[in-house]
Amino acid sequence: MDIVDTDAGRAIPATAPFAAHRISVLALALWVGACALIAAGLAMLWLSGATLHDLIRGGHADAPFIAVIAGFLSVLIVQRRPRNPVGWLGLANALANATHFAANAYGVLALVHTQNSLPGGDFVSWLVTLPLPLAATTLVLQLLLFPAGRPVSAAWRWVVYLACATMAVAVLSIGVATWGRQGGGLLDGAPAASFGVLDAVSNATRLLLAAIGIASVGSLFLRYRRADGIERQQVKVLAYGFGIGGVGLLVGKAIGGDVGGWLEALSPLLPAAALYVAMRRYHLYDIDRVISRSVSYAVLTIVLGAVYLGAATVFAWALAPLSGGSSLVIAASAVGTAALFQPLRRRLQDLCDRTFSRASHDAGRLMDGYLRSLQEHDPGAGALRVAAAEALRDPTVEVGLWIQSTGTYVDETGAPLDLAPRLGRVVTPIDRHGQRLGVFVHEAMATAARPELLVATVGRAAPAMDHARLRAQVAIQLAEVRASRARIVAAGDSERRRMERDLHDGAQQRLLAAAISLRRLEAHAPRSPSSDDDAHTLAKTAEDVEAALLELRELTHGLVPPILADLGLEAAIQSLAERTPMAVLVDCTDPLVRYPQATELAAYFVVSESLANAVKHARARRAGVSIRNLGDTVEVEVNDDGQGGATMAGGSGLMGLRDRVEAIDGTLTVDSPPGQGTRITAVLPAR
Amino acid sequence: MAVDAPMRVVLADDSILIREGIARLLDEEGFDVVAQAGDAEGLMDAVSRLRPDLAVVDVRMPPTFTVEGLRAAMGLRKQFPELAVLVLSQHVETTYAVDLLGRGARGVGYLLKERVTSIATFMDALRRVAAGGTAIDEMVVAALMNRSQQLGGLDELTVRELEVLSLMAEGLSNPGISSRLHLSSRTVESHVGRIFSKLGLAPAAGDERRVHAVIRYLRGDTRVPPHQSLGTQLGSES
Repeated sequence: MDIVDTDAGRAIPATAPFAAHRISVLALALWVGACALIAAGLAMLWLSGATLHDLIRGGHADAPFIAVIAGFLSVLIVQRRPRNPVGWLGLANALANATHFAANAYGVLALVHTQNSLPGGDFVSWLVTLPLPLAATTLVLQLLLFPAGRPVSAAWRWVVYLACATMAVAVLSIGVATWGRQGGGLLDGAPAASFGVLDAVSNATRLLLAAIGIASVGSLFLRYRRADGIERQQVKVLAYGFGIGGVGLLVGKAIGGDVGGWLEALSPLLPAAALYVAMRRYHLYDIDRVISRSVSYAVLTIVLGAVYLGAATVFAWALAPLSGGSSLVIAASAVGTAALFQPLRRRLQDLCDRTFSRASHDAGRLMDGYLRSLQEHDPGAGALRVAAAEALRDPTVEVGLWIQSTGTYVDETGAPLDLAPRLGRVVTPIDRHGQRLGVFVHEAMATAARPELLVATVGRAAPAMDHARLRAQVAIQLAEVRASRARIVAAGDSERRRMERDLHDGAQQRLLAAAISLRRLEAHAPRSPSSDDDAHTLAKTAEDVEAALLELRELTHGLVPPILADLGLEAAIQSLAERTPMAVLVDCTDPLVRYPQATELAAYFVVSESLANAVKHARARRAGVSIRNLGDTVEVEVNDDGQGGATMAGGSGLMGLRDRVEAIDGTLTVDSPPGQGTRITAVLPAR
Repeated sequence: MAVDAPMRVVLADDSILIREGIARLLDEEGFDVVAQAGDAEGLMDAVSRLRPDLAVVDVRMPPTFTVEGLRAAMGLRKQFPELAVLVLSQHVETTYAVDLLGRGARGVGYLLKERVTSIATFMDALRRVAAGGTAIDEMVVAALMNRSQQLGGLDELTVRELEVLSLMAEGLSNPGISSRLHLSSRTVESHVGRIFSKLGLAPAAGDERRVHAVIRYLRGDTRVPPHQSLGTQLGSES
């Protein structure tokens, strides 16, 4: 369906701008022509002394309304859907009505009022009845083809053909039949003429057209039953409009007189109003979406011009009986019109803004602007939400991005998003080629009040949504990699602790027990020259075991320093400083504060590795260690007065340190200009 | 050192292997091991029941296998001022040494566990502690000396004086130092006097007070109270 472009992936129709512009101008010109005919008609009726009352009672007032208002809506439809016949049919209808109205007015002026003193009156009278089948048929066709420009089913095609054929026959028969009877008898309100064969034919076509008209209303209801979603609403509104309008027209014709005349005059407004509602509320032809402000203001200007003219005419008419057509009347009507004009203009402009939706236009531009900004820089996670909230004018908007691999929705940072139904919240999906990209979750109230914003935003959201989705996917993968790195480090740490415990409980105890036994044996061994070798072996074995003990002790201390787990970072760093063969000043803001185990371990390794490097590679003489508790983080800094030039590359061990620090979401920076010492700073989570 | 009544010892270590080894060693060296305990609770129980002269305590015991023994030892020292306590540990830390010494160094020792295998030195330290003296592991003293030296606290001392200072910190008496360094006791005394005046310390009466003063000087704690971390933890527990 091309009624609503809520499936956002669809490309905006790629009509060449020049051609689109020409078509717009053509449609506009046709409508302006219709308006001009109406204006001319009104002027001529006025000149021939007709009053507003006459106009209403004569049943002529419907044509101006149809030509101006329905014609205007048709221009909008053509601009948005140049290939859809509905708009063109509407314009044809407006022109037919306007021609009929203007021809009739000239006929009245030329043939009746001035008694044939004006030229061409007879010929023009021939044009009075000729457009009527055209007007009726275009109306019927509109009903048959609304809204997409196709009949409701293949079978209904024949009804369309029949309508066209009937129209052709009607125009021909009427044209030929009335050619010979040119004159006042053809004007509206004249008594019916004699019945010739051609008249019989034209009357038959009239009946046929009426039948097709009834069928077309039936087709509209059929379409309503078959449609769903937003199209159903569009058709429903239009069916109501035509239904009530049609009944009003029939009743008006039936009762006649003043009331009937007014009913007849105002009834055509109902379908037009229905069309307007369908455009505004149900995005018919997306009129509310794409039309540019300048176009709508141009149209507004023309409407205002027409309204001004109409108002001036009506004023003059209304005042005519009072003053008998003096120049005073003209001046007074101009003043009255001008007085009314300002508030009217403001109202209309407001209406124009709301209807042709500066907001939805802005919403579309916002989304487009967001997309363009992606070419310049990465706006970061959350930027799409901000843009969507601004475009939809709903600060509570949430962006849900579809992650295919897990089958879940996440927000822009990659955090899972709960899409469980909530009262007052609506989920609007964004798809492309049937593939889900994501959703907007928004206030039902906010978007119900301004559906055009949702359409404009959703229509442009697909590429931005896709970008955000890929971004979130990367974020999720990065988080997974981070988590797995953290798990690896944590697993390594717990393995260190397990090894330390196992060595302590096993090898160290056994070796110590063995060393004690050996030394006891040595102490109690009998001293004699013959056992010197044995005593020597015993002593040597005891020394070997003690050497193994020493090595084991250093190994286990390096695995996990026990004082770190027991007394915390400051005590462990002090202990480290005591054993480092250079001057180390330790400065700690909160010596008794305990940090998470992983943080303490990482901080300890940062300090021990940095101090070891300072002694071994940098040949430093002094070093400073500072541990600053910053609340959410703890900053560990080691600086020395060595030769500098330390880098992450090579075997400095700094790479391993950085891995360990980043594994727990910390950062490690190395500042080591050659000859100016080294400063290593780690910022680690303190909670 | 021959004694008429053998010294009564309570031994606490979670490893039966080590406990048995040390018990046998002490037995052979003329001590009377009156009880063995596998955890801090058993140790407290045995001490309050048997009132031994000396408790030899391993730092690492159940349930957390961190520093239970150390805390138990500090508790014992508070509760039984006459009891001598020797703490053995797989790793020695100056912080723990200072905490263990507390306000005085009377009848207290803190040694690396593997010192047990140097039987003669171990027995020497054991007897010193039992007699109300002090025994601080040479590794603790080395760390303290290193720190102090790096920060310039010992710049005025000669190499010999540094040696004497180390041994003082370990808890050796003047005769002990003179026999260890093969110096006359008069020479040792004059070294000690010079060290005290160079460091600006008041001459201390008694070996254990001397240890206390020297260690606090080396820690750089002469003006601030000793490290309170372990004490604070204990305080909150009791």
